Amino acid sequence: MTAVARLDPSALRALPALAPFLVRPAGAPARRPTTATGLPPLDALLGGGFPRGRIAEVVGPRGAGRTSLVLAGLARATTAGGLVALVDAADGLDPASAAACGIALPQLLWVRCGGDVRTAIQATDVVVQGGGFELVAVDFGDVAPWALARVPAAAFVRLQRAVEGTPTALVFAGPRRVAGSMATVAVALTPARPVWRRGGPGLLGALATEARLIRSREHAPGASVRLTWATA
Amino acid sequence: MKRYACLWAPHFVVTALVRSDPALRGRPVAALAGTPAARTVLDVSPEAWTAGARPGMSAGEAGTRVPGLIGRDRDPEAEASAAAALLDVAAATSPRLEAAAPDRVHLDLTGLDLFGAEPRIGERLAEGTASLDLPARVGIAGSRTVAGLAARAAAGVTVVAAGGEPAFLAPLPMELLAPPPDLAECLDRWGIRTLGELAALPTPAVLARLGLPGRQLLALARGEDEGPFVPRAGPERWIEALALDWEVTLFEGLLFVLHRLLDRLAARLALRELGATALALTAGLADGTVHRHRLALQAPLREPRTLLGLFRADLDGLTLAAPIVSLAVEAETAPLRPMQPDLYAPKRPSPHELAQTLGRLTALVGADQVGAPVLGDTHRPTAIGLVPFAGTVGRQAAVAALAFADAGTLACRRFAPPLSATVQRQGEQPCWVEAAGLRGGTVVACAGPWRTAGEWWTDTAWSREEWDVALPDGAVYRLVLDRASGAWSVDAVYD
Repeated sequence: MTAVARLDPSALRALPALAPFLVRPAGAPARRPTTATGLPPLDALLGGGFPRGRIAEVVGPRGAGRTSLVLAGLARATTAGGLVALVDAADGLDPASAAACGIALPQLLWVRCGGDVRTAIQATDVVVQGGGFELVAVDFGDVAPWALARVPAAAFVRLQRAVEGTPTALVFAGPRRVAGSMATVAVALTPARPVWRRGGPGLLGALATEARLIRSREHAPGASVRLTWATA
Repeated sequence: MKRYACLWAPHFVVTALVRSDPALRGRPVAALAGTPAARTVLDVSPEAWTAGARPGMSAGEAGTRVPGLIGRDRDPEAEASAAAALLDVAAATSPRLEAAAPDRVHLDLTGLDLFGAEPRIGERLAEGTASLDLPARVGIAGSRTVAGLAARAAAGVTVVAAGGEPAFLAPLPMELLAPPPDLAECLDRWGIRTLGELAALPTPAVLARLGLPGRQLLALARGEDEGPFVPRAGPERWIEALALDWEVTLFEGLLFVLHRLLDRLAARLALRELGATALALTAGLADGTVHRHRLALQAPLREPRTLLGLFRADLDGLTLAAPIVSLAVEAETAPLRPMQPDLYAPKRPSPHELAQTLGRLTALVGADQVGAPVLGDTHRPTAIGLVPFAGTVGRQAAVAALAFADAGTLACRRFAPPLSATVQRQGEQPCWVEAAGLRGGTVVACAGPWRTAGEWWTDTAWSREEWDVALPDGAVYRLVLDRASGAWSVDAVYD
């Protein structure tokens, strides 16, 4: 029996954990640590996934796939054995969807903020300061733009300082950008196009959307990829 | 050979008062008892003792002898807290202990080699009591009686070597045994001044002349224990209480007192590596009634500031019928166990760090708004539950990681609460939808219906009809008809 055949599958989980100890080949550019979104096209667009120790943003109109994207990232992190947190400003999480996306629910800390943006920012601060989470996602849902605009920019400076140097990726998802220059990357989703299955009684088969990189400190913005969200 | 330690807190009644009110520290204090017309001194602080005040004096005489003497009524609740704290210190060192008196605890030192030699154990006990503002003396010997006398004989830690008990006891003065006055007078007439002189008397002769009290005194002088060691049994109570000299009427005043109690409670829990899973607050009111409040915590926690923050959030807006005159906090506890880190898994917060984070979040948004989501054991789509977040990682997660698919799964986001909608149908299908909070209009595309029902055998029966409808804003919504009431609502959006 070869060594590969005897390899315990759980040992494969070691690879991300061992990444900081691997020696970089001479001349190779330093790669920023990331946490994968679980969607290969988007990971390629983002340079590996959501940046750790940084702020990322996902923006788009209602129905563009923000929630699916965030849940995909959370699912990827929980399946890798990490803890994740969802600060839910609008109490919009559907646990059945989360489970269908592959999130290990016991590893998901769900903080419901009752539609209060200010509370959501404070809760995010507490979670980030507490540390130990792979991915902290803040879902603003369909909070009114004026409510988002009232969040002081200093709050995001504080959050950036708190998350800096930690292995946590902090992701904001909402109808518009809020973190300004504190965000390392930002992705905009275009309105989704529903795909209906033909034949039979008529079923929603998928949502097709496009993710465009609108801000990045390491790549030229403007690139885009197509994403498809299939019903479970 | 058995070895015992005695942990004794001198001036216990006054020490308990000082522990409750740190402003009294270093000042001459007397604990008073009796009626207002005839108040007597029950106990005095070392400063008052040095100045000449003694237990048994009238309050007036003590005040005359010691200028600036502070008289305070004894506080049974503070004494109970101090006694419990003394037990906590002992329990942090030995599991076998005997509560001989509120101010005295005996420990069985058998098998405590892990902590080092006996002097080191004694120092550990003394340090523990000092950390709880409860200065105590420690005596270690082959019997509880000798250990107790060693603790009384000298400050600090006194260790009597095995076999050296008679030699240690012989020069000690008779006052250490605190004999009854008539017995003390008799022994004084006989010229018995030390324990060694009393121990040398023949037992039958003492019994014949002094009776049973004399026999008991003789046994003590010889270092013999009166009865067997009775280890403490039964559940422990983690309670800190305080009787207030003033009435608390303001919320900030309540928090100030509460902070002090939580500080003391946290120090005791730290000795045992425990955290509080729930805190019960009992406030005695000036009108004689009692207000009780229970604060449940998501995870074991003992950081005083976090606990205070939780109380602040939980008690906000509290209105009581009368001012508060006494306060007690009791903790339900659970061990704070360190977590063995997994070399191959991402770093996770320690249970203590996680408990603090959860505590702060609970203080911010409320206990029912934080946790791990859980699916109900029902097909009702609205059955969403929250369970305390434990931060545990299941085994199946690793397997799922290997089988992770590339395709994204479509999720939906709920509206909380659901948006009440007005719907027009064409045939069976919805053709026009209007609801507050979304751009309604003609239905662009539609799929459904999916009819579900359940719990028809209970009072909570439900029956729904769901449609997926694409509206002019480009989004696809989940439209729901409650078949019982006939009301339409937009439950969620595919996002």
